[in-house]
Amino acid sequence: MTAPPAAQLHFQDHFAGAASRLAGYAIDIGVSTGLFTLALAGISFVASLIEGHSVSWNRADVAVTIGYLLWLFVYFAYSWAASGKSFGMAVLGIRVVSADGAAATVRQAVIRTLAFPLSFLLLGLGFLGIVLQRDRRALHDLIAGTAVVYAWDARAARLRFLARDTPPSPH
Amino acid sequence: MSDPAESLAQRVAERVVDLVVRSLDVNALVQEIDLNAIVDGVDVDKLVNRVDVNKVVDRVDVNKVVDRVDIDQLLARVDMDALLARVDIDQLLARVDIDQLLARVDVAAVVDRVDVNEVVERVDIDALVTQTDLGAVIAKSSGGIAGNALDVVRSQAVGLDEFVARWVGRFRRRRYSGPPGPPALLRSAPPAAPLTPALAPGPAITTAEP
Repeated sequence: MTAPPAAQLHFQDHFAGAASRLAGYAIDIGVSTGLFTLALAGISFVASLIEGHSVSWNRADVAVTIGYLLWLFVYFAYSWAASGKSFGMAVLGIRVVSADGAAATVRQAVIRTLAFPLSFLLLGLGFLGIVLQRDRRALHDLIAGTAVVYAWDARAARLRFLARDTPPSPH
Repeated sequence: MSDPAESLAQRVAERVVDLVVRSLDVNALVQEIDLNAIVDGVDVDKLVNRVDVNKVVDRVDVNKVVDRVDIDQLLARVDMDALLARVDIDQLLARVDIDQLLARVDVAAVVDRVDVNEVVERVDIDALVTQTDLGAVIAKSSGGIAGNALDVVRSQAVGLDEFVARWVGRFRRRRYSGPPGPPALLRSAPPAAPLTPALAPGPAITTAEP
């Protein structure tokens, strides 16, 4: 394992880049979908205990789709409103803040969650701002007045790395 | 003798002296005198002993004398190196009462003038961690394997971010010098301490601008 490069030590509270955000999003989708699937499996199991036969879920089922979308909304909106970061973002060490750097408000978290699909619906063009704009804000960030920054303390990570190589004390 | 005779004699004498003095070549006479022989004959010690030095000094206006001294010119003629070479520093320091000196120092005022942030910036934190027990303390108090793995994943992701940003900058013919940040957050961020290059392991993905 290598220590965080020296250049990264200055990145805390700077706008996060595309790779970190994409990786965080991928983790979030995996986790949220996994949890939803588990929930469905749980419901199916309970239903089978009560009614004596298993319940099968169809992807084309509108109720399942609406439930899934609702779950995604709760998952992201709650995470961003509560701490500024979802599980995937916490893993990647990034967080959502207001455009000026203050903590994101509940309103901003809700708007960001609702506007998030727009970035997909425009053939992904909504995400281009992350790569092309100086402040790395996607369409949903511009709409919600938010930005994503590195919350990860690379300096502390570097010290932890160096500390692992510290020779044991002779005492 | 009667008064007229005495008066005549007096006038004659004055006239004679006047004539003699006029006829004398004083310069020639002075040249004839052997001053060295005279000086040799003078007992200087006896002479000095008869001088009341205190009385002489009392009559001297020292302030006036000092006013006439050109200190700059005087100092310009002093060979400071030679002067300092003659000073026995050890002996000088031995006479200094350190406790008394420190008692007169206003430590609070001194500390107030110290820029602690600047001092901390000059501390080589990496060397401190690797060469002291502080490293062991940090290692004991901070995350295990999962934490270390997270550090690596994040570091790789940031490296990839910078890689992408640099290439986008090249395509757009814009110089990329790292990501900016929201003003409010950057204002409150503490300055990062400099790193010792020798202790900085090579990055998996280089993020420095070429």
